[in-house]
Amino acid sequence: MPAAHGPVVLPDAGPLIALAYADALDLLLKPGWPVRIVDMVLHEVTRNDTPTSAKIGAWVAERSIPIESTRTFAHYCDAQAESLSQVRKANLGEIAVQEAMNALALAAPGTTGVFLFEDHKIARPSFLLPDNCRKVSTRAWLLFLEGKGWIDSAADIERAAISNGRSFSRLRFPR
Amino acid sequence: MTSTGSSATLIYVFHARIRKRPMANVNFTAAIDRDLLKRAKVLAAKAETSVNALFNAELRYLVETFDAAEATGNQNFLVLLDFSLGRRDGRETMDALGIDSEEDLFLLMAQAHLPTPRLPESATRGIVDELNALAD
Repeated sequence: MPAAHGPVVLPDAGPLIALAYADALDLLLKPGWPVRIVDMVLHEVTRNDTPTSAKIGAWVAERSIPIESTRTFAHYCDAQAESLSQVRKANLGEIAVQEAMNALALAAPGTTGVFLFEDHKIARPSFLLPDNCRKVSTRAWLLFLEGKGWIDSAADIERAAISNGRSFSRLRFPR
Repeated sequence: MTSTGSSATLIYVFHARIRKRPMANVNFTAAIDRDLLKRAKVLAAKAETSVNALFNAELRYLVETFDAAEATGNQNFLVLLDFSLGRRDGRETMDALGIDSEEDLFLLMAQAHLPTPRLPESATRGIVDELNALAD
């Protein structure tokens, strides 16, 4: 296992969901780098009762994953408490992740932030990426682990996530 | 099936069999990711079939699902297909489908048997290299 001091890993909602479906959330811990969860992201993946919401919540609690506080989430909570009818939810996770990137760049410029996203978000140019932050896809993360010999097969993990997703029958298909 | 090309993407000529006219094969040219083809060959061997047969089955599934959705006036499959092909980003896709959860999008893609959009292999390899550098 590598050294405990290293980059900080901050997964977005997509990687958390995919890894939860694959029963592989612990793969975020494999390199031995500290993992943190952005509060708004955690809220996004646990606010609804889904097949993975309890699993992710329990994993964060059991592994004592630190929560990264953001003003985005605080503002969202304030708006909810005031029962504002038009509380914005869309994209708040991404805004909070951008805030966390900027905070890391200012507070710990010597620390590298590894931000995990799904491929389609990596391709989007909307993030202003500070020098000490890296955008990493779930696939690249799994291939990295495979290359290090920490998992047998990245493809098997991806396949497990999709297979478990397909077997889930409570899907709320949009009308 | 015959191949040309030496890069990560191979050009393949598929000899597709059309069921309505069992003897009629048509040839066409397509580009396919080298790693995907390698995995498809492994799958075909395990399933004791051919890559051609797998390709036909999956393409038929895609076309028939699309036709069924179109016949009922449901545009959701088309929206998901656009997302899969990288023509519509995740935010637009979720808006079009009326969902606000990334988990629902993940499940819809899985249920529709559509792959989520992928970065080019070279980009993914570049990210892996960055991670390796951080780990050293």
